[in-house]
Amino acid sequence: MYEALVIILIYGTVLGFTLALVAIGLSLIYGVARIINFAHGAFFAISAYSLYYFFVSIKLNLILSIFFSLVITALVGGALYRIALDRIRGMELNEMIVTLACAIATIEILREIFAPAPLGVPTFIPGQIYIGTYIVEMQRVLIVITSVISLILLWLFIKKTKYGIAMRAVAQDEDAAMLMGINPEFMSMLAMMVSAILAGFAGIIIAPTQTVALENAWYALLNGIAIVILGGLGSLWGSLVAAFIIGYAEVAVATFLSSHLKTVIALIAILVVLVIKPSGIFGKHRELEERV
Amino acid sequence: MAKGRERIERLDRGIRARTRDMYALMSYAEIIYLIGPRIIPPILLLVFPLIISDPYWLLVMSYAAFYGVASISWDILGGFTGLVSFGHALFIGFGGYSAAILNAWYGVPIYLSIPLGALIGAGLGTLVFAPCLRTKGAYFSLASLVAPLVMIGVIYASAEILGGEEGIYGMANPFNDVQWYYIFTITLLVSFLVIRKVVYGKFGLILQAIRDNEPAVKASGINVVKYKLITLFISGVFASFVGALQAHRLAFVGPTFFNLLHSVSIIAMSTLGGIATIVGPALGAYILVILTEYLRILQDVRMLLYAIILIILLIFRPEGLFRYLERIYNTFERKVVEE
Amino acid sequence: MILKIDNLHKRFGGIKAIDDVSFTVNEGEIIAVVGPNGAGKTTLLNLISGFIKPDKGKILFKGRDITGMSPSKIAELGIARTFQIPRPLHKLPTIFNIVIPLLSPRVKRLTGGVGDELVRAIDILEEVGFERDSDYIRKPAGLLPHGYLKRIELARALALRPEILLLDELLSGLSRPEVTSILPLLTRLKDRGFTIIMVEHRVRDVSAIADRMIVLNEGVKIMEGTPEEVMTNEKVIEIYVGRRGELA
Repeated sequence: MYEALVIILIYGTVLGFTLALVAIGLSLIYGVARIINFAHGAFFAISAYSLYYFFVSIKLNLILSIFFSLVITALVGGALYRIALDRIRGMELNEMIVTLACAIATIEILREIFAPAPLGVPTFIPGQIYIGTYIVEMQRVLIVITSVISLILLWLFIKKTKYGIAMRAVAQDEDAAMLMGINPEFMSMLAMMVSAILAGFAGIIIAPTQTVALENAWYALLNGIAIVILGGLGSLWGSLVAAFIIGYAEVAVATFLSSHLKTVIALIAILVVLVIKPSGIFGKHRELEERV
Repeated sequence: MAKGRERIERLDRGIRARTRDMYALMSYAEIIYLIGPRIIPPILLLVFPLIISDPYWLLVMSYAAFYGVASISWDILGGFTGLVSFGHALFIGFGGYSAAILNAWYGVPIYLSIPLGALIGAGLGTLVFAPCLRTKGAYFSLASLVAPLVMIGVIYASAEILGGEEGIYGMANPFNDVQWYYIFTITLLVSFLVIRKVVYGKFGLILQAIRDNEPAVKASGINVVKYKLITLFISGVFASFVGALQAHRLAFVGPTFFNLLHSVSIIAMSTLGGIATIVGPALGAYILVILTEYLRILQDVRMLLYAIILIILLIFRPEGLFRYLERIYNTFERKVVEE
Repeated sequence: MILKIDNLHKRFGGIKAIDDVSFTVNEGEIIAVVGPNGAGKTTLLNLISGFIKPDKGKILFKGRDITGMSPSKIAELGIARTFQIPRPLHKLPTIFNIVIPLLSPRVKRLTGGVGDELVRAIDILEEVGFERDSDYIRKPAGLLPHGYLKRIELARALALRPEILLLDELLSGLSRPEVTSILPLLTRLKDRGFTIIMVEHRVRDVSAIADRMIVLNEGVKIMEGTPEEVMTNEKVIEIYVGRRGELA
């Protein structure tokens, strides 16, 4: 039992950080552009497959591979916004269907380019460390460290840089932001790219610990959706906390029951939140928004 | 004005002007104009096996009818009520599994396992989605995408109870291809008539009002959640029914019943045919199923094809095929002699 | 006493939108709730009609506690409301906007389900000032001018055969002739036995028809009294004049 708890703690933390990167991206684009992006999981897959291509197929060095993969993911994110979403902004239903269709198109294209079978990516740093008597691969430690760094970078970007502040302004009041000379269209595209990079980075760092597979895109999306609903749509802090709740819960289910059942956590989380507190555990200003 | 001058007039104009719930037709042209499109497609569908007896095409057309029913049932939710389901496969799967378990394990005869499967499937699906109905539509869409994917995991995990990846085999399949063709096609025609009755009556008016403006309907003293629940169940019954039919037809159910492919196909078909038109989604189903069968190369990239169709349709032409055809049809003209 | 509001509280984040408000409404009265923008008037209506739930306090309708009930349940009991920003069913013809409340369980119960909804809908539309044969009745409601949308709001509320009408800034955005045509209509409704609670920004217009007025400012009830008392109260004048001088 004690052993199981330690496993849940370690693996849950690692998973929690990865999911946090995915979900915060999803939350960010909802917060800024009010877009529910079903293509978010596709970003996760694109970067993982790009990494496979650069790092394994053409044997580029690691840093460059990661860099190029992220650039590709960001460009896809930007293109998704510019080409597809720009024309249908504000039509929530169309936005959702189009992003879902884009996700499917991306995944099917990846299926055509790469083999449909899962692919393997070698670990970025070899070795392992001991936590007590438990062996933890260095790759997982790396996931935690780099996730923390990216989250801090994101925080600095949002709080300190010109673009980050402009983005927050758009999130709060698009019309007012526009009057201040901020271009909401551009900020939404930028948010989409940042959100793509976050999901993409999660796809990259977690790739060596699992296989690169198309299903992961749906797994990432499904968890992302559960986390943003649990944390409250558009609340970044809520997403961070909810990511860990889901992360620990999924590892616990996978440990005690079956790894196939871990996705059940996502559905249960969504349904329970919608029954008890539809605004999510941290969505406090929700009611103000829905004021009639 | 000179008597007897000829002018061109749209064929529907005279009928429109004269009718108010009552049809007072003036010529055979008008009669054909009015009932032709309502009667010819069903007749064609019913005589199809007499013309083409190739079992392969019977199968294809049965599939089209299967998707036709599923798409029509999607349309009551997505088109009329504004609850856009991204996981209608959930109902197909629940219906299929319910019928399979009833028939294969408990020996319930096929004529009971299918309708019971449909009711149980619809009930289960409604239960899953019920929590999403109080909040705004986006939550329903999000949860509906997640639910079938989760069900696939659940089935994989419970090999002993639900057959796992292998699925459940051995349901009764007493019919041949032609009989199955008629079962699916008649199901489609009946579903169409029933659902049209539902959405174009007072009930449907309330659904459209909910889609248009939910707070206004609440302020009108109507329990919106109740209506959404009923609609969800009605929609679920039809989708689960064809799921149950399919389970018997294949004598197999597996996790593939919950596949995203079904859900996405249904959305693509409805959008292509025209959302909120009831006929449109069925039309879209026939077009896409026949198209992907006709061009065999497209089989493997069906998902990609549907995705691209959806993207193009939604970005450039949100009208849908049915509305387009309707408009063309209504411009049929005739010569009239002015008096 | 048909409605009793008891120590109502509602916060949004850090803002006290409604801060300990209590009052009572008698049957057949017109009560005007006035106050500057952001005073909490609309929030008060949303609380009574159940669209938002209070943090604290009670709302009693004919002695029955309706606090926290769903909007449709409250409407069903006989409290109908209009929206400040008209919320017509844009795509449906105007007449169907009125048919919807006629299909509600309340109306079915009161009428026994007898009669054609369309006929009754036209009667109600005529009552609020639509011409019986006008195109507007068949046009999608979304295409109508603002003044008519306000009338649709009122018609929808009336169709419910309520006991209390909650009117949320019915007069705002209306032209002078429109206001002068609607005010007598409200008096007629009062004479027919409706209890009316109207939230208004423009004090002068409603003072002509209101029996009592309640003044809100920043969520707090400043005073309650007859229109004359309110119009001459220094505190009220200060609130209005100090802000924008619309009282005069």
